[in-house]
Amino acid sequence: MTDALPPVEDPMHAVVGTGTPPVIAPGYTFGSVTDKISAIVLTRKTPLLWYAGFGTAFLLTLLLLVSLTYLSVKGIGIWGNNVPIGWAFDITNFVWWIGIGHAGTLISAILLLLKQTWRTSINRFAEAMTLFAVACAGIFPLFHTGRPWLAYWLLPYPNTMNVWPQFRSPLIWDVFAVSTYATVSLLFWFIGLIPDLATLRDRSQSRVGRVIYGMLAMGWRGSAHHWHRYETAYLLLAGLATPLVVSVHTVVSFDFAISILPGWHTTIFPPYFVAGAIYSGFAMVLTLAIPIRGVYHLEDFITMRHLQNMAKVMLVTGLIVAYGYMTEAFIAWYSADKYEGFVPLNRLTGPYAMAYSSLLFCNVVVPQALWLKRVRTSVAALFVIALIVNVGMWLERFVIIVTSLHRDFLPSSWGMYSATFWDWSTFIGTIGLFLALLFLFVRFLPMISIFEMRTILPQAKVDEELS
Amino acid sequence: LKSTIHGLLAEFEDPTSLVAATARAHEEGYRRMDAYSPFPIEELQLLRARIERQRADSLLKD
Repeated sequence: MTDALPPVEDPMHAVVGTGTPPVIAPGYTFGSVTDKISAIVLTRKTPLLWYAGFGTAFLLTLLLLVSLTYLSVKGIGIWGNNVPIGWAFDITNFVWWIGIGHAGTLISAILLLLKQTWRTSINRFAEAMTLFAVACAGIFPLFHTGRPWLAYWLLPYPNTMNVWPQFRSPLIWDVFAVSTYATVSLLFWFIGLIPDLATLRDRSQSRVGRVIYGMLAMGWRGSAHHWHRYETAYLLLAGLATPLVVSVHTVVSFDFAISILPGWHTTIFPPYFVAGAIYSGFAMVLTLAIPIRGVYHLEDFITMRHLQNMAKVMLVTGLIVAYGYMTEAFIAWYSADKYEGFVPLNRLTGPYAMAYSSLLFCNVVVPQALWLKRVRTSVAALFVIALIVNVGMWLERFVIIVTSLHRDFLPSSWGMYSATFWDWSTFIGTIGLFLALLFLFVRFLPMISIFEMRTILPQAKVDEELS
Repeated sequence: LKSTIHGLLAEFEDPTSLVAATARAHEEGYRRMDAYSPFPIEELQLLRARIERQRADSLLKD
């Protein structure tokens, strides 16, 4: 069929002369793209690494279950939280996980509206990452309430007790922000999956597969009317999700900024948190994409173009975060408020100085290597940097929360925090849950959007003159 | 058994001929039709929108 058509000139696929790698390797047809992606789910033998990875992740999920059960029985006293450090690992992990999710929404919604074709092969699993990260995030505030079975009290509903949530508390705003985020992310992900679920339904060799994928595909036949409805719905959801990229972490930052605590009481928090969220999210997408493309041989679909673009987004958002650190310190000094001024000094030289200097190293120093093209084009270097940024962004939230709380206005109320076994086990347990869900996703659903990959093939273009 | 044609089905190799055939079929006066594709085709949607607009215009004239 390509013989009949003149070669399509499309700047998004430009390879020759520019040195930019394509968003999909040349030589693919509609059929071979479909085969390659659906085979991972339907026909290819599950790699041994999958069993090893899923097994490990599942064991860690069991650790989470044990930790949460013990917590439900004993209460949150099993954590290291105390007075004055009422928030510690729990909220650090909550903010870290929520932040990670933001890259998925940015890739799927904002890059869709900006018509960035390079989002196409990474959006599906970035969205899955968002969903699973939000699920992990939700666990922490839920169990930090101490009585998770009463968590529905956070919702405003008419009740005989006349108990109403405190609407002036940013924690209640969080409930709405995060639940909206989870709902929109789930819808967005599922609607995007429908045409591909139909492909799996049509190709599945087993009856069980046909029935399950068939039910999920909801009668998709690929008619022009279906596509019309699909595109309208998808665009509307992208429009709804776009403000969420900015608003969710803004509200999360209000949890701190609304208070009067030095180190928290600052107006730079919303933009600084949002940039940090996208920064850590892209680091996580890279952390996941690099091994996945290696194990499943998807280098043709997740090309160096994708990795380089993600590295550039990390570099930019990393610089915004670094600017945030500088502004924080500058304003603390410029305010001439001795309590505010004490915060950066205490972070640099106090008992948690190690955490602060490590975070500066991880988030500010290391990512500067991304200025070099040699680093951006090295898969191994990108993977290491992404891992370091993940650690750095976790440390950032730890420093913001713990070092601000542990020394406030009155030296008589100062204290120290150290994590207990259960703090660590809950945190590592959520990493296990996150990875276990991702392993299941990669095994049972198409991790790359099949039909969107078809649309970026040169053959998918309609020749205006001939038609 | 009376032989009647209930419909016609055609398969196309590429999106360009699908769009061309749809436009042509509409010109020939066919109205009850649908097009199936493994991915969204923008031109098909534009064609659909144009046909719907024409139909709305003709309804207004009547």
